[in-house]
Amino acid sequence: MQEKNWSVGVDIGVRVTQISYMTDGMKEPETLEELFPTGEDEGFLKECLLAIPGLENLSEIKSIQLVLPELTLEKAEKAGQACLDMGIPREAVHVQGVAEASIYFALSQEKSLWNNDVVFFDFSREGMIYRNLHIEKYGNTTAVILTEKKLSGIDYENPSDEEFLRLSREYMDRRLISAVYLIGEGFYKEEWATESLRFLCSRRRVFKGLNLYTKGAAYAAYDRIHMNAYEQFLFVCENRLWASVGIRILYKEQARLLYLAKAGMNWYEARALIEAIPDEVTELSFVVQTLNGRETEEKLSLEAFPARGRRMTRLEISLVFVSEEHGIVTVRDLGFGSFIPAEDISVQKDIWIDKGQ
Amino acid sequence: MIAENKIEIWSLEELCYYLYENAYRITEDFFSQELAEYLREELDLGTVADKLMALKKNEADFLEYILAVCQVANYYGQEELLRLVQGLQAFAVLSRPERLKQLADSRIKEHLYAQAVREYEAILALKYKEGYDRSFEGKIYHNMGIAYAKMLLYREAEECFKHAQELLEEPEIRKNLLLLYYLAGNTRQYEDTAALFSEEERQELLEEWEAVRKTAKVENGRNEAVIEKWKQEYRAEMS
Repeated sequence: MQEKNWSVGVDIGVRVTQISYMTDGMKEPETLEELFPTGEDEGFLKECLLAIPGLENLSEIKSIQLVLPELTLEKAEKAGQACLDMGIPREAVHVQGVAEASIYFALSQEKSLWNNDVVFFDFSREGMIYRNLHIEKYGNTTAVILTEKKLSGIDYENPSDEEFLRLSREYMDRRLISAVYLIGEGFYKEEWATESLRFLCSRRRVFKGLNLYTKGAAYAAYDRIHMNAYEQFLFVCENRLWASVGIRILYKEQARLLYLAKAGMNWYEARALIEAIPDEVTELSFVVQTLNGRETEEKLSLEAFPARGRRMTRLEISLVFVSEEHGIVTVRDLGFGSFIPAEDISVQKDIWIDKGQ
Repeated sequence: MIAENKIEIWSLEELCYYLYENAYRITEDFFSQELAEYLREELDLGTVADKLMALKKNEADFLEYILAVCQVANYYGQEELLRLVQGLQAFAVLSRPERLKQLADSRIKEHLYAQAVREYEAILALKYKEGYDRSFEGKIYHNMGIAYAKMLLYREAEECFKHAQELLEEPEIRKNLLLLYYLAGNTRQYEDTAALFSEEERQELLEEWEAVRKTAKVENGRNEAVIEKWKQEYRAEMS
């Protein structure tokens, strides 16, 4: 039997986890009806994934996108390791936050639903969050900008239609909105949002659902191994880099800037590893270019490395991010093959991205 | 990884470095099928491998092989490659003894003194077969003397310098003899040779040697250890 290629989106919520999936021949993701209690350890993930009908072996999952309520280094590594332990190949595993999942979902719908701005209201026991998706073209770049705000004044146990109407007017009046998505259990309790819904539905298309994030993640997972259609967009939202980081190099005797991480990349996945041979330089120059056009330069001294003949040192230069604002560059001595053995020397440099800049 | 002269080469940059530093020694045979396969399989440089094989088919000059690799490697700049080309072109028109002398001289720069001595002796053995003049022979003896002196084998160095002096009228040879006696602590010979220089010349030389001596860091009590170490290395080279 021919092996299927599975793409899976997993929304690991605070309380429950939802699974959506796509495989060959499907045009849209399916969501499992079952909601799985989010476990303390990642062993619960295996149970969730094995519930996918037709999936016989977890190694058949070619792309999996995990949505984490809070994307931290520790949580991302735990989730990634859990997938590896289950036999899912490392290159198939990706993590993202809720904001990114929202964007993937919105962009996967027909274009008329995101011609203008798109609004999301996420209402759960943790409160109500308003997100606005706005698309802007800058030359050849299409930026997808998602802003969000926690709304106060809407109580989960006793939500006020009047208050919600007031907030909706405040954020949406006299604006062109293509679609509104109402997400979360808060909108499924008795029909409380009558007047506000009437307002929202006026000249806009409104959708209600509980599985927007898991579906968005599944779309993203599927796209990774098929069209890569989302690569044309520059994501400007939580968990995406606000700046590009490059290193100044010489290539064929011409000065160039080699990008190690690009703005719009997911910070956890924005990692680079290169090797370079310094040519009569005493420091490396790293350039940080923010999306609003500011540029700063960070220097890393090479004085810790031994003096050798010209171009007789190969350096390993790596960049990883530990958060959206904080990257770490590590430079390690590799010697020069069998001509010069490597010494156990490495230096590090913090790279900070200030979103306020 | 390819093994050549017991050097393992693991990257295109190292290969480029090896070719550049040994350009005067390698021949077209170095650019073998095995090298092409290594470039293709290990370094993912199929286009370079194909180019080398095409050059081989056309029996190209070995300089073209070197440039084919170095231009892809981006390790040396255009000026450096031009210097290499010019150097190799000048080398190619030299007589065989002159080429061998250049190679032997490079051994001294590489601190391979015993190897240098062997190569100079080989050149001297070619004297009647290849034919060269007294001046050239004198230069061979002079440089061989340098190699011996670097190994602290002063007696052998002295013999070479004296041979050179008979064949070649060069003030440099007398200076090197003087330095040799100075290093060896041979006071009588030093004074006899020093008498051939003016007071001013002697003073200048002393200052020059003192600066060199300091950088060489030969200290009291270490000389014997250093000498023994070099002699052991010499014997190892000769065996």
